[in-house]
Amino acid sequence: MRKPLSVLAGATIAAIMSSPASAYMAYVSNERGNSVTVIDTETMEVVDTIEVGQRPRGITVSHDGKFIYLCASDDDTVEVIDTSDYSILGNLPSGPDPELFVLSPDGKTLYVANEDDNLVTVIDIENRSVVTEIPVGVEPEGMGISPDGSTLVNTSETTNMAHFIDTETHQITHNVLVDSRPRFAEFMPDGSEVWVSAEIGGTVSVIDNETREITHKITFEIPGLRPETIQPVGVRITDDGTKAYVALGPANRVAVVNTETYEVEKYVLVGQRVWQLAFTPDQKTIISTNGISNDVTFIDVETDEPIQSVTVGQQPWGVVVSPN
Amino acid sequence: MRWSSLSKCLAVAGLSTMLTIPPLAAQESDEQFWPCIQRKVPHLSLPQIWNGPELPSSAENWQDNPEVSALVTEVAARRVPLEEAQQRIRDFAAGLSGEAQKEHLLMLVQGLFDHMDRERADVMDGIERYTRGQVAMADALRQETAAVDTLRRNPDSDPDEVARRVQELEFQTRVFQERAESLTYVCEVPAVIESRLYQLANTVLAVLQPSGGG
Repeated sequence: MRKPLSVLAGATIAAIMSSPASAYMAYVSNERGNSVTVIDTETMEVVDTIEVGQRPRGITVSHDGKFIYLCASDDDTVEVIDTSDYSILGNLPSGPDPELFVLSPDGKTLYVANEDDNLVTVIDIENRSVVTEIPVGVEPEGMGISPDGSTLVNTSETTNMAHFIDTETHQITHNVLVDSRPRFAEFMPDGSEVWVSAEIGGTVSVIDNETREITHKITFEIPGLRPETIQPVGVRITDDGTKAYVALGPANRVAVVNTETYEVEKYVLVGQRVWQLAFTPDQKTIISTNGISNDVTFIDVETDEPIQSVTVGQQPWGVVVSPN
Repeated sequence: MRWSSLSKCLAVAGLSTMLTIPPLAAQESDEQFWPCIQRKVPHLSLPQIWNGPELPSSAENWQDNPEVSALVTEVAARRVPLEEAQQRIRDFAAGLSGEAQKEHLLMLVQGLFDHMDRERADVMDGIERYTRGQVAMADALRQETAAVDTLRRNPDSDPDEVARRVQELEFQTRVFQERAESLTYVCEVPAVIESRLYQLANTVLAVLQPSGGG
């Protein structure tokens, strides 16, 4: 029997209302709070808090949006969280003190920086097994992967290098010396460049991915601010490759950089000790984690104006937004 | 504690000292004794905590205004709960209006900045003094370990003397380790002061610019 039209219409309306197209969830790891705060990016309100392992830092999400991967640094593990009910499904064998990681473009492999062991651990997600461990410089941290998945870049805080690793052979092919305490590596969406931030050096080095040489060095100056307060950490580049956002730590600002001229076009005041950044999938908003003021700031990507601050747990560190 | 485990413990204690002090070659000379994971920022800059109207040069004389000066001391103190301190600022503002209110509140921001930046700098100096003490203590412990080791290997040594020295060494090692552990907490204090200053400054901003004081 065919259902009356009004019933179908009602069901359709209910379905639309229960899943608004733009309601993404942002997940924020709280380093000291040992929790993950879940924020609805549409209403910019906290909808849940997940209790997790100790000292959660790096956080990412599977490409289908079903699982969150989280570095529980002091538990020496990567936790897997089910996004449908926020339960912790299990762990991945990350090696000791995982801080930051990157997911391969095909979503099958996780590359983890083990800060205390000077290793990058390569994990097969499906089998929950370690594929190999790659020795790198002292205190590895930043992890970036080329859009085609062929090149991994790891930065080592003490050795001050960006290590280029061939993901087929798991061998380091190039070491590029950057400024002091490199923290983050981000590829341009077309794979042409890697941007590496240096926390103590106060710079972002732009490395040509063909020649593996530094082609530009971006510096930051903010009137009235002492240079040592400017500590670049997280870097994100828009999908169209036109703008880069750089979190500047205790400068409490996010720099907006024109990727064509490499000039800083704006400094956006957010919260205290801004650490990491994540775009919403529609690229309309970028979210910053502010470690000392215990909040995150939503920034409008079109106007580069801060829209709203949302209080989260203690010492927010990383942030990721679900793709759907 | 057995001798072998004591040696291990000292090795660990020594290693932890090395780990808490950043490699000297990579640091500025004034950061050699800075043990915290956070990079040392000796002084704050006003734009880190203030996004409101520019502070006039007259605000620098905040100490000459008894009311502002007293309020600075009162609300800066961490023993006063933050909400209470924020309410004190709002009450102070409510007693003033127009230009006088703005003038006094900007003076208050300058006062809070100067006072709390100095307090934070004092804490950081204290952390460095503490670290110098730890380095000296680690050095003394290493020397005493070597001396006790030599004594132990000598068949003519007085067993009571060896036992006494081992016991003393154990005690000093425990003191060293406890001091090392408390550094983790101490390193957070500058950030706690910074956080409070930011929130107090934002309270003032919310009075001056009701829509933009986030």
